[in-house]
Amino acid sequence: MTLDNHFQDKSPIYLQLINIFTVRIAGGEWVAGQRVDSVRDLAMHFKVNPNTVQRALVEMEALGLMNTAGTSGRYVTSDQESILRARHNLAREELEEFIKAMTQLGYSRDDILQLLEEHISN
Amino acid sequence: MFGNLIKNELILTGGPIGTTFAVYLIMSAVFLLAILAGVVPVLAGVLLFLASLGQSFVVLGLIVVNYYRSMSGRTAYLTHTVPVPPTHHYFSKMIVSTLYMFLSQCTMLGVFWLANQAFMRNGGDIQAELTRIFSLLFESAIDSMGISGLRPLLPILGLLLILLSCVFSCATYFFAITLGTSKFFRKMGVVGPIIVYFIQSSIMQVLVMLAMFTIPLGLLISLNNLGGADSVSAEWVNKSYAWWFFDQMQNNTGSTYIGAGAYIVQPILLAVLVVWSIRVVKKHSGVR
Amino acid sequence: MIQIENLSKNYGSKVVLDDISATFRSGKIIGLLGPNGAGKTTFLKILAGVAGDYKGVVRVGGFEVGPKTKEITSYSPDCEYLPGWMSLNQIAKVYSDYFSDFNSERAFMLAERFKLDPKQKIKNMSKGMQEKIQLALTLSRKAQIYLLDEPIGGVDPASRAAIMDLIIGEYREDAVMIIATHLVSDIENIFDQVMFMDNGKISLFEDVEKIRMDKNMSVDALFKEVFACSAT
Repeated sequence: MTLDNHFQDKSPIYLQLINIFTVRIAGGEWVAGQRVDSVRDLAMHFKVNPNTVQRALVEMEALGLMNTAGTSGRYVTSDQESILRARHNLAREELEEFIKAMTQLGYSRDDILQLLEEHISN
Repeated sequence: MFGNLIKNELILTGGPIGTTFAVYLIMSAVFLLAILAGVVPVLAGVLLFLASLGQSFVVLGLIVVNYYRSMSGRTAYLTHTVPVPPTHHYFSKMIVSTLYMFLSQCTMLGVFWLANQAFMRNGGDIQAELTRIFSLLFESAIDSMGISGLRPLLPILGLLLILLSCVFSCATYFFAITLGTSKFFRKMGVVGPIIVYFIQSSIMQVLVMLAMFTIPLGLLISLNNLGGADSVSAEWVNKSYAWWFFDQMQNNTGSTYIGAGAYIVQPILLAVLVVWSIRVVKKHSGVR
Repeated sequence: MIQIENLSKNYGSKVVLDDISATFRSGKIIGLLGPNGAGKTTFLKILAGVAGDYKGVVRVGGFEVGPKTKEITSYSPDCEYLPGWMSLNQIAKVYSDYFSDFNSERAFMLAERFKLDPKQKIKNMSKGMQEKIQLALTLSRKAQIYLLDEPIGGVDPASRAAIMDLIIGEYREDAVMIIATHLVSDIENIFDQVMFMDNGKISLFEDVEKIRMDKNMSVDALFKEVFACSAT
């Protein structure tokens, strides 16, 4: 089995799928304008219900990260701005999590910056 | 669709039954040759008889097991998901099983006839004498029944009777299995059908006997000489077998009756068995 | 697609299904979950038309269960039901004769995917191989109702993934699939809805995503919570 079908218990699958798809687009794994796999293929890949995949894809369209071109299928958006925005949003979420965790551990602003500097240069 | 059912039924039981026939025919050929060559002819005759008996039991067993498996056992899951009314299964199995049983009986008769010929050719010894006595008895039986006029039709009549008896026994066994695996008996497993079979065949015996004795319809046969039935007449009379006993006690003529009521009741019983089986099959509560 | 009203069935004095009512719509994959003896198998047998003698109304595609509904129902029971002396080659012929919606090329293609030999006799196959053959046959029909009783019960984890792919791949908007299983965690993500059965009754019938949303737990977690109580 692939690692892709490990889902968290506590939130709906479709939300987790949206997250996975967004990461793929923001990270460039799925490039702008690329054709997205069919619902069936995605459902098989993630071992989830096709209706759930469908729901996630519709949400992706609502978020402006995908669009359908008639009957020819579904594509990753070509709008670079939307992709960048999604990327920033994801990055900000990660940073917020990180800072929250570090603050809980008692690190100050300067400590965090210094630690980051050290780790990145390594 | 019914054609498909018949076809697959033929295939389903055809394999093992075909093998049985093949083995039986090879064995028969060996024994017949032994009789012809005069090598231990008595032993060969006995073995031939036993093989024939064995063959007919094996065929019967295969038919019964197949019916049980495909109607109530594991393969019943496949049987009952086929989009046809359940009665189609019953009738297709009835037709194919009767056919195989009939073939089995005919093969056996054929082999017996060949054995008879072989003994005749060997000639002169006790077996040939026995064969001759048997055929004499057969001839006189035909004469005494007053059907010697129907002689050319006799083989057909005989085959028809065998066919009927095959239908009858298939109906009987299928009934026992169908009812014996239904809701009421399901906890007993294989014992269910066996119990049903014994109860049902005892009841049928009693009913047939009752019909023979009480239904006022008989075949009157008058014999002039007891030994050689040279002048014989037979006619239908409206008297039951019980009447015959009565007449015997009154001590009158040398004529005799055959109670014909049994032959009227038997088709009715057959119909009852078939209808009852269908009723149970329709509910198909036999699937485990 | 399937309407069930006040369905009850008993074997002698034992009540197996107790006044069940439910409706299943097309385009859904439904998980039928419950401990052994809850009545799942009997429920599917009645829908498939192999068990009669029940009380209540069961309609499939608008018809009472019978030859008409069997035409559109593809059923894989939880036991080995194929004649042991036959091979896939022979059984595929039987299926083609019996079911007009059966696609034998597809059955052979699936058998190849499962690395099964179409000439091998059923009785010489392991339990897992037999399950795969049954599933390949069942899913090679273009039916409107698929009833799968414990489809991943006897197979190894790698084959489970392949079987799940098969089920997802066969999903169609005009078909409904009901899958009975007790292996919840392996398969729960492919369900739209789950139906919990306990002692012949439906104790829950809910959208899977709604369970996650409302209760913040997976179906498996909920299943363990519900049936841990009844087990002790």
